[in-house]
Amino acid sequence: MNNAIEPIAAEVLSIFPVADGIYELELAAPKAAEQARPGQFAMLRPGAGGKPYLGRPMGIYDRDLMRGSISILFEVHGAGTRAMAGLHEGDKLDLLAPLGNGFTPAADLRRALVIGGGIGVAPLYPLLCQLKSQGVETEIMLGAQCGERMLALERLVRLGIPTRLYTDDGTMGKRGYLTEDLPEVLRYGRFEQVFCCGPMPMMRAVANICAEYRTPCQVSLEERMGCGFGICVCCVVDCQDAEGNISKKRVCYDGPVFDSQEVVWHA
Amino acid sequence: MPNLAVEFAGIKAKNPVFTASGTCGFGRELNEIFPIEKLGGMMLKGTTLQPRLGNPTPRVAEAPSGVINCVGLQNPGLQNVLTEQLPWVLQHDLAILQNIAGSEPAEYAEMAAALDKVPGLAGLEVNISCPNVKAGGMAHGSDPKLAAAVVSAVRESTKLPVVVKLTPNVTDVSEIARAVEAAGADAVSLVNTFLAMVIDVKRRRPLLGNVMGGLSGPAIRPIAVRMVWQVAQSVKIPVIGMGGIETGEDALQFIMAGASAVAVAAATMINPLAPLRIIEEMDAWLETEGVADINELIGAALP
Repeated sequence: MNNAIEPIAAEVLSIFPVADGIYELELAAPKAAEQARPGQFAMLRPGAGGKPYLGRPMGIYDRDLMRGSISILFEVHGAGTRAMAGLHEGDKLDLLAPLGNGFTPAADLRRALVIGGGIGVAPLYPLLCQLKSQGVETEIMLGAQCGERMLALERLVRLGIPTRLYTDDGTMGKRGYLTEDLPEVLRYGRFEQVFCCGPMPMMRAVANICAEYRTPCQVSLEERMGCGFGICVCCVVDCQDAEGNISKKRVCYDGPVFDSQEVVWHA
Repeated sequence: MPNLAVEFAGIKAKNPVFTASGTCGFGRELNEIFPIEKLGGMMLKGTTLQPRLGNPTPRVAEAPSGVINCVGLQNPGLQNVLTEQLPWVLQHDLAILQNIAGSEPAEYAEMAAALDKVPGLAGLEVNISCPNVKAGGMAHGSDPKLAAAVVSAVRESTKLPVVVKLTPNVTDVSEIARAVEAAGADAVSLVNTFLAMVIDVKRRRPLLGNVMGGLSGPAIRPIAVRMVWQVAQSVKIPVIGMGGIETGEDALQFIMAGASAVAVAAATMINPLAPLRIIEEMDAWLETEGVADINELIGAALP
């Protein structure tokens, strides 16, 4: 039992919208709060009466050891997340956490660039806390559709890490994609490691640019998931080793964080 | 304490609850969550001669009270199973069945012969029912003659107990069961998943990467119970029942329908401790009802 994960019925401590259709949910889960490492995720199953049937994977956004809680950010996409949005304080939902392998900053890491897109900032916040406590010089690039959907800003301001903001419509920070500026940031930033989580097209672009500038990059991937702990082999991603051998790895159990060079980035 | 131990087709298990093939890998991941020795046994992931990458994603979709998958037998291949997977899992005290799949009888036979020499293996589960592969799989299990040909080939290649896993995607499952019994099967396990599909209306396309998949979970339970009940009356060999078992009483339905053991599948995906809870609930039910031995209940609901 090297990482004894235990399914629990977790009580909702708070739930509130942070943007249109995006919610922050805090759950009582003392063990998960204690054990969670940056980049790990939780399977949440809100349904009464077996609806939805499967759990939904959500990156762990924050934890509070005093309150014994973990928090997640989620966006309403379908029936599962719609049911989650209908939760109230005191409700209970099935929780399995913490799952997967998180980000792995090297012990001697000196300069890191953390890149988030949209709700992808969620699993990056615990990483940023760790990098700060490790004394890693860190910079952030954050992109969103619009200013209202730029998430986690209050927390990031408190961390006091230099941050570049980008929005598609220019309502906050610079207008355009952060990937347009990334080559220059990597050229002059002397970053030893990039960490990234966001929409697939953004991660693909970030991975390509990092490869060009020979900067190692860890990405946190997403795929439709069945179990969340490795048994069903549904959430696979194409990977290749140094010899070019293709394998299909499980996002839930072998990831969700992968070295971007290992991932086969399909167009 | 009621007796939960069962014995069927020469396979001994400390309780009748197994984890179904494809929902327990080769045991390692579940063993990180609970000691797998608490299970009666495991049907390990369906294995082919050569490694298989399986189908494109998405491989899983939500269904009403269930789940549809189209994994497509992704597995590391027989050699890896023989050298890496079985030696590890066979250190544990539970009945281990290796599920095998092939594209023709000779492939099944080759695997059965190789596995015959593995000490400690409790038996083989012959997969003639996977709905997610083009060659073999369900095609073998839908035709009594083809099913019998696969089972005969396996039978001639091994002394291990041979359990044949049946597909429900046939008009008369009893006919297939009788055919594999005549070909030398020691037991049958049923049901595999029901062929199903989901359309992503936003994209106007099938949702799953392989278009169709197999439906499992409580949605199929009553159909599975019916099929086990029919098959149990059609053959003399033991039956292993599965299909949407989530509770001890669900498991007892299958046992009373004639199953000597049961397997849990989708329930483990949504709660890895589900198989243990099912064992506890069966135990408590027997205790409450004053039944001393689970074996008294096998086939209790048969005419």
